Amino acid sequence: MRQRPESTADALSGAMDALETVVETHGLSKRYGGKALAVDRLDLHVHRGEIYGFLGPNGAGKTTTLRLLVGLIRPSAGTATVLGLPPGHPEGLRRIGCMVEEPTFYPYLSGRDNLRVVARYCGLPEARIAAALDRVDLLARANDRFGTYSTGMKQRLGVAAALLKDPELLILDEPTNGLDPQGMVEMRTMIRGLGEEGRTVLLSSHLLAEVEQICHRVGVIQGGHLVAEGPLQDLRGSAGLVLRATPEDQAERLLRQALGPDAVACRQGAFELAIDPGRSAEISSLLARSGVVVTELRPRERSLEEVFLQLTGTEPGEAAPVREAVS
Amino acid sequence: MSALVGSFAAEWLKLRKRTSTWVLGGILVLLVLVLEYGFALLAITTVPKGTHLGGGVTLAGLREALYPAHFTQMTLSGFVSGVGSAIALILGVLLYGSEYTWSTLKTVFTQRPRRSQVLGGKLAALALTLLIYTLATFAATAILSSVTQAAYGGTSTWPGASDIARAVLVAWLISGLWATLGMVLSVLFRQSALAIGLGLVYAIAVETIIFNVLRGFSWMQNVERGFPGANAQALAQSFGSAVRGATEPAVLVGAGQAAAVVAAFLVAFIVLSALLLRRDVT
Ligand SMILES: Nc1ncnc2c1ncn2[C@@H]1O[C@H](COP(=O)(O)OP(=O)(O)O)[C@@H](O)[C@H]1O
Ligand SMILES: [Mg+2]
Repeated sequence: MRQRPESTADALSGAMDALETVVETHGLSKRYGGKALAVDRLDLHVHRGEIYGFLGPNGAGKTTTLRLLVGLIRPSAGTATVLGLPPGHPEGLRRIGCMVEEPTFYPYLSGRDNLRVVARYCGLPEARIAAALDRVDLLARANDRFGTYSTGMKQRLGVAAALLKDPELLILDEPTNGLDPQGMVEMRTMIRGLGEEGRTVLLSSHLLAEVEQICHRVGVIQGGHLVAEGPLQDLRGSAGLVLRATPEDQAERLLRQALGPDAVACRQGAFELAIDPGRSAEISSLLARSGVVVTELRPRERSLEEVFLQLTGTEPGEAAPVREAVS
Repeated sequence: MSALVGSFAAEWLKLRKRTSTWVLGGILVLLVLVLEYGFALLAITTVPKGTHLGGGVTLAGLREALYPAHFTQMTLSGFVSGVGSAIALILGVLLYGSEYTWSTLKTVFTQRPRRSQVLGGKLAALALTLLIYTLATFAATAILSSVTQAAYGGTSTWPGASDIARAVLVAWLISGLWATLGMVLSVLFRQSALAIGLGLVYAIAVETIIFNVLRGFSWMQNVERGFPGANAQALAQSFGSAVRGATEPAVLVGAGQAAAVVAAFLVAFIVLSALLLRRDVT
């Protein structure tokens, strides 16, 4: 299996790889039959070595996009390049581990035999199978028929099949779907580990918390459109400053005077200032001159959920965690 | 390992480990034995001596048909009867039909081989399985015929090795015809049930029952010449009748032409499958 870069040269080439685009699409569109566009002019960029979160509510077009990237379906318009090759190219496929929707295998074969089938298709030595099974903690049940597996075990066998290829790129479509909380935590830990090994991971999800926990960059898809793409921090941005100061009434008066009444909101003993966070020094000296003591002053980060709401004007998937309401 | 070889290895593992593969083969062997030999043996042992069986067939003639000299014709007759076509058709349907049922096609198509290479691997595995079926059936009829002969104490000779080889090849080709028909139907409908149903309706109802009814009309011969089942029948009949004295059926076409038509249909079914397999997999 792939190791993390050790030498400086490796680290350097790793840094250069970071700029390389592993998945790139231009105007990628897909219409199923005569229905509406499931994916509409998508421009996606996944960089080498990152865990990319492909976030969107149910029916947004995540699965459709991933099907296009592995060549299961043909685009109605636009192009895609995966590992420098057109989707579905044999050379590309052998370097991609993928799981589009729930993993499917032969129910009458054991987990091990299913991996043997995969190894034979890929021309891989069967000696790798035990390690892959061990990695997903399935060795003990490897000789049981796939048909008898629980959802979590099926999902783990899917990951094992993907890992068998020692892939550069992993494409995982909502891999925590249908898992119990314990299984979800394990799956996320495993994905984070795969990213740390230097593999590129393209992870689709309708769960904000999941993407926030695991991913470096995100693309937000809604109704087939990519509504935003960028590093998590950039996307979340900062929508102003949070300030605590005493005495409060004096602080409030000064702030309203300086910034205008609309820019100042008071919530739970803290002021939320809708201004450029770069003005924090100016604000603190303004208050200090009038004898107001500033006890806390920091940029206010928006949660991804707020970003999502703002970008899409809709609620994300119903399974999204409920957060504190935003006024 | 090339993608095609890898694909064959994977398909062979899937077929080999599947119970239905061997159940189907067992049923084929058993039914050919029962239909071709079992009923005749029953007739010979229960019908009073001297009874005329119609069509110029005598009990003695029927008994001789069961001897090794005629085991190739008897086995081929089993392969062109409904039994051989039905079994081969079902095996062919399972090749892709099950992949649609289990949604495993997406797993297969995202490994490495191209769709055409997957098809090539599947066809090779299918051909190997059908060859095993065919050899097993010929072996079983050979054994039963020699046992029968020994029981009646008659003297009989075996057909020549080249005749046996030719008969095996013809049976293999005919089973390949029905199997690829099953395959193309399962790819077309993306499922097994409808493909098996319609395949059997075609092989048995259309090519057997309807054609038999219409055979009285003179124009029917010209129509039949273009159909796969009728040509498979003609190819099998080119080996002659096993039963001495039986009225030979009218020859539809020569063996060469029949083999060419059967092979052409088989190739057409494969090409059609390859084209249909280019469709989206969701
Ligand atoms: N096989 C299909 N045939 C027709 N429409 C489909 C098919 N798969 C998905 N769709 C439609 O395409 C849209 C996007 O679906 P999908 O890509 O599955 O979204 P997601 O994975 O984000 O939930 C939905 O409106 C869905 O109904
Ligand atoms: Mg989906």
